[in-house]
This record gives sequence, C-alpha cells and structure tokens, in this order.
Amino acid sequence: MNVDCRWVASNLEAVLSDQLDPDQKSGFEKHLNTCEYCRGEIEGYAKVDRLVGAHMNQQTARAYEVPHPRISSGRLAAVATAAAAVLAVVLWLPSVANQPATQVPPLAEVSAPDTPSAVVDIDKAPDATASERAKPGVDAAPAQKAQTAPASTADIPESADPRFYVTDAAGYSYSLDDFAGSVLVFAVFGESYAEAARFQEVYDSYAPKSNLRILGVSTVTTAARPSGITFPLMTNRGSSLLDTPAGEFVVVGADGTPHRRGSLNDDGLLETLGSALRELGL
Amino acid sequence: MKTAGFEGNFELAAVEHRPFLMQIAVASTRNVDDAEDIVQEALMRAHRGIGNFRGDCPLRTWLARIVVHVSINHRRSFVRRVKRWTLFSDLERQDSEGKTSAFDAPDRSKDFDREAMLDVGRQVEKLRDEFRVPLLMLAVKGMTIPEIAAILAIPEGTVKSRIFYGRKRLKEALKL
Repeated sequence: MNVDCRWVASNLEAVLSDQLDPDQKSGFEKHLNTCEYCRGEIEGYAKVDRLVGAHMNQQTARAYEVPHPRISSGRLAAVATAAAAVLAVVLWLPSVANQPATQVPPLAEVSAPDTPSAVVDIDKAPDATASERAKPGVDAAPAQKAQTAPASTADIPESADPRFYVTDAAGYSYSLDDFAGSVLVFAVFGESYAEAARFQEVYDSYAPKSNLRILGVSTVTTAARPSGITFPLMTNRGSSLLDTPAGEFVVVGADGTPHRRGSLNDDGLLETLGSALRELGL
Repeated sequence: MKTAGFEGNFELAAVEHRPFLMQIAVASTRNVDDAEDIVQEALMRAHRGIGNFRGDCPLRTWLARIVVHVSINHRRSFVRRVKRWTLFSDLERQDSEGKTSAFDAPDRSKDFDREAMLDVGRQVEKLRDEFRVPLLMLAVKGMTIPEIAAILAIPEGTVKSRIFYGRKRLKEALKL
C-alpha cells in the first residue's frame, strides 16, 4: 500500500491508535523510515501525551496539598462541630417554618447511618476515628507509587483477561480474544530493551499478514519506546502475559493457546519462529 | 446492607478507590483545589445511594461516575465544606507526627521545564470540557478507553475521536 504524507495526515487517528490493517501498517512504516516530517509529527503526539501525563501528576499533587479542616484534636473537633451545628440550625429553621413535617435537619441527614457498617459514626470520638482512618489510608498510598514500577496486578480491571491484558500508546486495550483467528507472536521487555533489536529483525522478516500479528509488550509503564523500533509496543496492565518473563517470546495459535516459547537471545531465533509459524500453517 | 451489587465494607472500598477517584476529580474539575472536596462529597453520596449500585460495572466505575457528576455541579460553599469535613470522617493519612502525606507519584513534571508545564496547563485549560476530560482521564494510571466510555456514558468511538481532537489541539497550540 502506497502511503504518503497526505495519507498519514488523513489517517492520523487510526495511526495513533494503532488501528491500521497489516497492509496499511507496513506502508506506513516504510513511509516513516524515509520521511522526517511524519516522524516528527508522530513524535510530537508522543510529546503531547507525556506532557499531559506530567500535567496530571502535577495537578493531582497540588490537589492533595490543599488544606482542609482537620480533626486532629478533640477541641478543634468540638469547636467545628459546634460551629457546624449552629450554622445547620440557622439554615434549618426557615425550612422547618415552611414544612415542619418533611424537613430533616442537615446534621441528621449526614449522621443517620442505615446499618452498623456505615462509614459515618458520629458517636465515635474524633481522635479514635482519625487514627482508624490513618491505617487503611497508609495502605492506600502505595497504589500511587507504582508509576515507574512494573504495573501491578492491582491495575487490571475486574472484567479483563488476567492472562493477557495490554494497552497501546493511545490507551486502547487488548486481550487474547482480540487476536482470535490470528497467530500472535509477542515478546516481553523489561527495564532494558536489550533484545529489542533482535525482535525488530523478527518483525522485519515476518511481515504482518491478516492472520499474523507481531508485537512487543513492555512490563515497565514509563519506559520510552527505544529508537529504531517499528514493531508495535504495548504496555502490560497487570496481566500474567501467559506467565512469560522479560526477554522471552511466545507464539500463540489462532485458537488462543500458546504454541511455542523461547528466549529472544537464542541464536536460532528466526529459525525457531519460522518453524513454529509453519507448524501453524503460515 | 444487602444490596444487589455491593456486599462488603463501604469504608474499605472507599479507601481503596480514593486515589483513583482523586485523579478522576482532577481530570473532571475546572478547579483542582476542589478535587478533595469533590471526592468527599461523591463518597458521601455514593454511600447514601449504594443501594442503587447493581454491580453491572466495576464499583470504581460507578464511583467515578458520581465524582464526574459532582465535579460538574460543584459549588463552593463554606457551610457545605464544613459539613463535609467535620461530620463525614475524612480519609486522611497521617503519620506519627501528625503530618499528612502528600501525593506519592514521582513528579514527572521535573522532566520538563517550568515554562513548558505552565504552557501545558494553560492550553489544557483552554480545551472544552468534552475534549479535556477524556484526554486527562486517559493519563490516569490503568485507565482504558472502554472505562472512560463507561464513566462518561458515551460510546467508545466518541471517546477516541475526542481524545484525538484534544491531542491535535494541544500539539498545535504547544507547537510540537
């Protein structure tokens, strides 16, 4: 498929979300190899994404720093509660005057738990409440930490396939079902992309066809795409990747079952893959 | 409380999902300083309305929808603020010295200079909500297009094209 700059510009949304069919994709990649302008455009979008990510981090940090009324001492709590009670009564009186039967004081609206397990328990001393809260809160904090660590299993949505769940640069998610009917060859990369060049050879040798998909999966969420790589690179979202460690590849048959595994560092990598693909009818 | 969708301790669920909901609030609101208040209010409402949760989506998605709704309708009011923080026990993390721990994610804005970050902030603010919100939501760790579509109750295709438009505007405005 002959892809030029105009084609790229018209199909940018599909390009950025990796929704090209294999024919378009190979045309696009060939074009990218020779076109500095389009490479610059694509890199520009990648920069936008990084800036938006940094912006969100910064804004979230700021949101956490906003001071709010603290219940850190009994006296403060008593004063605050009294003040709120006064205000609440002041606001409640006019509505009582209008509809005494149905209006509920604002205080009661919040403080009447339906069940014993309700979050709000006004009867507890504020100090005890604050320290009880602190414990689960501390456990919640580590969920924020993992932005440079490998994605944890906590990331994976409940409905997703725990064996294989990855997202591309645009945020679209893929599980094994998305590849049903095609042979899938994927390689797993960790912190270093030492084996990326070898997998690139694989990608170049076995041109993607409609029934063959080749992609890399990174287990590190913030790793930048290494230069010179044109194979699709997805990010793992907490799945087991069919129990595949970094530095290895898997060939998955069209029925979704793993057919062959191996190390990307094998000397005979291309031959191993070639025979595996032949066995699967490709 | 026996409900169709949720069985368990709401408080624990609230603590577990709060960091995620904070990011949703930051993505949805026009004023980041209101994000904590918004999450508090959303959790209050969610707790009151937990009987309406049918379990046909993940709990965090249902909670996130409430956060987005509260963000849109948020009005700053002293009385409501005092109520929220005094009467509904907040989920504050305090270490032994009584200091509150700040957001823990690494500050990636250090990768970019201050001018660049100010620029991004200004240009993001200029985007209309329909483009800004999905684009910022996508930056939330673990977020996917299908989940954004579920939270905002719009089709996935719409989410994708709005994100694309938002990216395009930012790229042009930031001259990248």
